[in-house]
Parts: sequence; structure tokens; C-alpha cells
Amino acid sequence: MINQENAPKNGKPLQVNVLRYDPESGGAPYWQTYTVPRRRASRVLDVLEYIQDELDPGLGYRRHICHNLVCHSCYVNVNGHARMTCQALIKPDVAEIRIEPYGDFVPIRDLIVDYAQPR
Amino acid sequence: MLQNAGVKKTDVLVVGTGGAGCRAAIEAAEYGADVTLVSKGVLGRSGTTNMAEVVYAAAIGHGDRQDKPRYLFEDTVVEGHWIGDQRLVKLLADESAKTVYDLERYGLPWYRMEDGRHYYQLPTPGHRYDRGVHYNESTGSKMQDALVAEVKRHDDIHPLNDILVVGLMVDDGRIVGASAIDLKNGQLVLFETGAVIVATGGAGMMYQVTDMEHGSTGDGIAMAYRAGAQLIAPEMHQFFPTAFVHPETLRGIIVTSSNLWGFGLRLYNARGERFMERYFPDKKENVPRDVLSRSIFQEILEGRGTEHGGVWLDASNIDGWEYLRRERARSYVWPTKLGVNTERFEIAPTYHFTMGGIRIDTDCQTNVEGLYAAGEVVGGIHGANRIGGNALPECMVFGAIAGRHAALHARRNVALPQSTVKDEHRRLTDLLETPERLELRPKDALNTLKDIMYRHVGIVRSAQGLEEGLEKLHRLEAEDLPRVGVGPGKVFNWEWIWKCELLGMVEQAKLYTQAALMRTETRGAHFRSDFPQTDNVKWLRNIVVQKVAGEVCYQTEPVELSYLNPATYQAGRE
Repeated sequence: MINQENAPKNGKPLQVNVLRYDPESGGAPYWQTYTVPRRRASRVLDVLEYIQDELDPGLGYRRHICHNLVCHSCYVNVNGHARMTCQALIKPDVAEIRIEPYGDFVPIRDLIVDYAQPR
Repeated sequence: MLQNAGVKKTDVLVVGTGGAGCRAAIEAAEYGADVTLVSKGVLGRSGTTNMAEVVYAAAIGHGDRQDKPRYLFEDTVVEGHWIGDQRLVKLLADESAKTVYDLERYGLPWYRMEDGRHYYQLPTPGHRYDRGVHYNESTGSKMQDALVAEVKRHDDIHPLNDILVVGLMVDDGRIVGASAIDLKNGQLVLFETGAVIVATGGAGMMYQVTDMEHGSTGDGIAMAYRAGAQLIAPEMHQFFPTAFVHPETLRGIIVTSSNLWGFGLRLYNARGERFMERYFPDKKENVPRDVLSRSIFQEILEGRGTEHGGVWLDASNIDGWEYLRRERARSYVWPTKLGVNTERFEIAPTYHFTMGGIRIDTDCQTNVEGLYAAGEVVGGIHGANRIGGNALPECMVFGAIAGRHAALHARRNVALPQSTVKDEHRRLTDLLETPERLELRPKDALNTLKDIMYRHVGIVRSAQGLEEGLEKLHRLEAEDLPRVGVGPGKVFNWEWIWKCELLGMVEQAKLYTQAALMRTETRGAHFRSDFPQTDNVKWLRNIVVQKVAGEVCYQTEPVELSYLNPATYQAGRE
């Protein structure tokens, strides 16, 4: 079992690659890399929250969510697989993860998709 | 300038897509209205209804043949410490049974007894008979799914996702519309309608620790108040004793239910003392949930809390642990799935339910013509304490009433006055397109607010603490809010959203604090350390607050005791 106590507190930081998309600039999606300390990287949700709160307030992902595996608002693709960010645990030995918007719906901005518009 | 996407006409506008909002939309559509159902999140995925766990209280008499709606009525009034509006409680008690069957028709497969015919009803604290119909440990999300399925069967309900409603428009004392921001493109959307149903839920996000969905910012309460609606019992807020405070993203999530304290869970403060021994040498942790909440809170307040603002819960080596893991899967297995230690972890009381809110009559209409409310956003039903299982039926019962009356009231000949539209457009442009004033981010001001509310207007209140809280709130409003800026971008700009929510929350916070200061007694969830007794002589009254000509106006009104009187009431079972 992974938990906040046996997760390495001072382990190597996690490299997080996020597929960004800004509809207002009209440009194509691009990758951006963030470095997240291990103690804030037990779930993918922790990682996104850390990035938006501490590194880049402009990163778009849904924040009005339940955090508790119930609401199903927080789907993203993690390393190519559809996952809820609140459920996706990050193993302590993983050095790098890749986060893209959930592929089944049309993206609105960054990791936010329009659940009313299936692709 | 904020781009104006134009005016949408609708018979009935429903704001919020949780239990109450969906139910209201269905009822209004069945009465022939053209309904627009908006959510600031996603239909079916947003709102706190999803998060309700087990019981749905209804006096259908399957758990016990003796049960009747009038006993549910009595339990709700008495456990609400007598300040609930009895006319509304009566509606809740009388109509909740029917909603069980409505939900089954919509597609909720309630658990049944072995005979396959009767519903399986669980005992719930505060209810004298077994009343909790349920589906596994996910009654709330099953209810939400069933309602969404029913919403989708109606061609006349038009659900819109990602629309943040920011204002209600009133002309000559009547609702004429609402203004909103379409988060998908950052444009202003105006609704022209004679009937608005506010079903936006509670205000848990004003508090540091809450188990509500993270969009529960009490938007509807703030909007209705600004539009002139009365609020009732704004001082009444319910807490639940044990929720995670760490890791950050699990903050507020309930970790055990309160009837498990007898199993031998132990609490320790940051110094390693088992502090409940100090408060209750005999019972230790095995005390009622409000007492436990207050003890934990006191420990944190006096500086003996952990690094993350909680106390340690030690659940190692307790009897029946395997049983709990098996029988209470959601509380015990999920944390394991979520990657947290469930043997020893940091907990604190979590904000659970907003009992105060918009005042309605028995038609769910507010004092503003055409403005209706249903669900947790409403105040005055649960009084000073809500008993378990009453929140979900409240959404169903009052959702239906609001939907029916709004549909009957809907007028096609409303017109949004051009001047109102212009003013609203200017207000929002000023609010959101602030030129690079980024001294303070909305999130920072929000954290200040959450700290003030949890510390001063939380579980233990006193005149000194409340006055300090009020002073801090005034300082937050005067000094911090004008410096709050927002980052660039129009599409799903979270800082826009937070800023809109923040203004509403600060406004509510002042009302909640002032009302808590006014109520100089202890009643239910409202605990005053300087007035620890319940005062039925002076305080069988409700606090009502309203904005009159731009000024906030508080008054108290005697409780409506049309059916049951505390002086003559005797509890009993048949």
C-alpha cells in the first residue's frame, strides 16, 4: 500500500508532461513539462492541483469535482489510458508521466473537455 | 469588453443540476414549460447529490409497519431543535414516501427485502423507526443517475453545461432574467425568463474542511440575497467529526461514520496525548458526534493540532477491523485505493450541510415574485440540526413543488430592460477584465476566508471569536478584495470563476457571522461557549436577513408552531 508516510518525502521530483491547448491563441496543442516534488505526487489529482496552485495558474483542468471517485468529472488520459485523476495513483519509482485530455470528447482548453460533445 | 452572446428566452430557468435542480426541471417540463437547466459543471457529474452515501429517509413503513409520515415530521422538528418551519417540514414528511416510488420509476433500483416486494430500510440516528431506503453505499449517485436519465427523456428540458450564473435580474419586484458566463468561450449569456429556480446547493467551500463537491460555494444564496430575497437561519451549519485533512486533495472527505467510535478508534493530538481522556475520562472517544466534533476542534484551536490542522486518528489493532473493511467498503477500502494510510491518519471535523439559506413559502417561492428555490440552498426546514437521510428527499420533494409552481407562473411576455442588461454587462466587464491587477490571486483571498470561517464561525462559537471573525471579514472585504486580480484568457479561466464565487461567499460570510453573533444561546449545531444553554423562552425564533434598499436588515421572527408545540409535545411509538 502506498501512503503519505511510505511515499518518499525527498525522492526525486516527478516530471509531468502535460498536453496544453489554448483555443484563444489559435495554435496547435503543445507539450509542457512541470517538475513536481514527490510529496505532492501521490495521485494525478495532487499533481495537477500542485501545478495550478504553485506553478501555473493558467493550467486548465476541472476543479469543481468531488475528489472522491464519485463524480466522474476528472477524466484525463494518463500515459495513454483514460483515468480519473482522483483515482490514478503514481508509484514512487515512476520518474515521468504524460497527461493528455480525455480522448472521447472535444477539448475546450488544456485538460478540460466538453462532456456534451463526444468525438 | 466582455462579449455578449445574446439573450436566450425560456419559460423556466433552473440553476443547478443536482437532485433538486433535476427534479424541478422534470416537474416543470411535465407541466408543459420549456425548461433551461444550467450547471456550472456538467449535468450528472456536478453537485453534492452524487456524494451522498447511504440513507434516504421516507416513512413508507416497510422497515416498521407502525411508521407514519407524522412520526417523520415529529422527528425532523424535534431533532431540528424546534426552529424548522413546520409547514415545510410537513410537506417534506408527507411527500417523501411518494418520491421513493418516483425515483424507482426514473430507474433507481432500491435495495429490497428478501420477499422482493418491500424496500429494505436502515436505522438512522434521530429517526425513531427504520426509514433509510438505500442503494448500496452510493444512494446519492444512483439518485443522480436516475434523475439525469429522466431529464434526458424530456425534449423540453435543455441542459447547458459549463454556464456560471452570476446574477438574477429583477424589474419592479419580479424576476425577469439572469446573467451568466459561458465558461466554454468566456461570453456573457443572458436568460430572459419570468421564473427562476435556484437549486445551487450549500456553501461548504467557505470552510477550510468540507466534504461537499468543490463547486458548492453557495452561489444561489448570494444571488438571491442580492436580488432581495430573504434568508433564514443563516447561522446554522452542520459539521461531521471525522474527515481527512491530509493529503491535500483528500481534505474534507469523510473517513468513518460516527457509530463506529465504540469499536475503539483512538484520537491523539500533536503531542501524542489521547486528549479525549482529558474531556471524557470514561467514554473517551465514544461520545455523540457533535460532542466529538467540538472536542477535536477545541484541541486544534488551542494549538495542539497536527501540522495539517487536524488530530491523529489511530485505528490500528482494533476489534472488528476486518468486519469494518468488509461491511463499510466505501469508508475503508476506498482510502486504501486512494493511497492513504487508514491505520493512522490526520482528521478534523468537516463542514457537512448548510441548514440556513433562502426562505421559501409552501410553493417554494421566495418573497421575490418568480424566484423559486429548492434543495440545500433553502433554509428553515431542518432547523438547527439535520437528521441523516433527510437531505435527498428534501431535493425530491421541494424540487417537484418548485418545478410545478414555476411552470404555472412562467410568463412568456417578460422583457429584460435594456438598462439592466447594460448595467450587468458593465459590472461583469469591470469585475473580470481587470487590467493586470494581480497583487492578490482569488485563491489567496479564498484561503483567508476559509480560515476565518472555520476558526471563528465553525463548531465552537463565542462573542469574542465571532467579533474577531467579523472584523477579519471586513478587513478582507475592504483591503484584500479590491486587490484581487485575474489572469489572462477568457476560456475556462478559473480565476474568473473563483472571483465571482468569492464575492458571493464573502457577502454570505458576513451574514452568517452576524447571525451567529445574534443568537445568544446554544441550539443544535450552533454552539456558543459563552451561552451553553438552550433558551426556549427567548430563542424559539428564527433569524431572517434581507437586503432592503441596499442595506442589510436583520430581524427575528417567532417560530411557526402550527402543528407541534415544545411545551406539550411527548414523543412516543405506537
